[in-house]
Amino acid sequence: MEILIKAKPNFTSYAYPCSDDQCGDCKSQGADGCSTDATCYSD
Amino acid sequence: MTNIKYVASQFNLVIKEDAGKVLIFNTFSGCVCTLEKDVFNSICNNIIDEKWPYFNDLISQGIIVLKEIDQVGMILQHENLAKFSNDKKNLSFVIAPTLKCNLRCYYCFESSQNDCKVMDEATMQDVLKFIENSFGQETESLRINWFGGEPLLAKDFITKFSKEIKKITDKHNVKYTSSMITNGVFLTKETAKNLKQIGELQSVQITLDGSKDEYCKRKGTTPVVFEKVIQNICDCADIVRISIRLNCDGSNYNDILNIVDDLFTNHHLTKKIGVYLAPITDYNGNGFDVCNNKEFSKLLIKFNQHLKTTYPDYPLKLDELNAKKCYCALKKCINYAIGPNGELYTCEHDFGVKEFIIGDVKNGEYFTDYHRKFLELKLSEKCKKCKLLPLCLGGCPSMRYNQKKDVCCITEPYVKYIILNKINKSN
Repeated sequence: MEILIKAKPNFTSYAYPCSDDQCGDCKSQGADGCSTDATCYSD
Repeated sequence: MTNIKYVASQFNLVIKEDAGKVLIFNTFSGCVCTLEKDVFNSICNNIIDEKWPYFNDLISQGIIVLKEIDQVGMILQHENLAKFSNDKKNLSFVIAPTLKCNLRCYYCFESSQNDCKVMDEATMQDVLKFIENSFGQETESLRINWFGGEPLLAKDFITKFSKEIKKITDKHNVKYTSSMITNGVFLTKETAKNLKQIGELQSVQITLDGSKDEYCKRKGTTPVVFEKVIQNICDCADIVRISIRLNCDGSNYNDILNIVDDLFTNHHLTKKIGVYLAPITDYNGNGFDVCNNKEFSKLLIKFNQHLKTTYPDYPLKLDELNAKKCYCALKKCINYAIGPNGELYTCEHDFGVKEFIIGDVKNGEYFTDYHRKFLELKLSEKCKKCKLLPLCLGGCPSMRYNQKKDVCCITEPYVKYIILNKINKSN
């Protein structure tokens, strides 16, 4: 087994990754925020 | 010894098979790894040997899970916690100060473009109170996303509101930022500067559906307006972050490439703005042409490739493909969309539709049947079996509710494309 990208830390935890102010994903993705249809977008 | 305590994760997606090895992406944990094909087959058949040297890695990376765990149940429970969480650390509201719009996009989900009402002073005070009352001890940040109609038709209101909300956030030591969904027609340099300074405007989303003729046709406007928008994008790109949403139904794809080329080559905006392809969506089931999910994902891959090869200077960011805990901010009970009369909605797609009003800023929530049904939407059996469920959660809840069907928001070919690109990049 070769791990190329590690699992997100604490991926089974309730806390991950909803610590931001949008859909729970955008900021953790380094995106600006949600667009109208909630698709994460970035600059 | 064969271990029957563990089974294969339901969310192991095979990205490719090559030379006796299988490349796997676990859509829940985010792990990407290679396994010998026979090991992977063994795992798929739940024949798992705890003497394997990588046994602990298989567990820690989420490739195998305890057989007692209901994997879909775990996702639903995580989603419920996010939806019903009362954690107010970061608050987010969408505000439409008016539903009036100066454009007539044929695909618009709103039908109140002729409603000239702009939020009045008394309602503004109620909204401010509503937001202040929603703060908790733990609140660190507040984000307002200005929406419409066209929000800049209520520019004076936004300026006034921004000054007032800043006083409140300063008082509570809460960081305030805003963003805006605008057609860009009224986003002059002066307006952008003011909104940045007074309203902490950080980012703006402007939609372009193609070059001049196509834009005018789709948005029911004139070439002068198109030229004004392009000029405003050029003038404001150094002031606020601008994301250009390129609405695509398939038939305008080539024309979208033309407008991107115009922005990047003729207007030298390659490093100054972001562009992204978005599907035109028939939210209300009106029956106009849209790209289906599979067709759109092909275009998305094609578009990313085009950006990569044609504009090497463009800082293209690929999706991170994180497992979602909640489909969108508004699926959370503590966040609302607020209309011009101070009415509350669970989703901005509901603006202007009376039966979807779930409360008002003066009285709070009405706890309507609609809101409860919206929050309690069930996943279809097909979604429950899907390997992409952690990335999609069944798609936009508003569309699921209105159209009573699955509205997948991601496809396997697209996920495979992203993962292969990430792997190549990290190599």
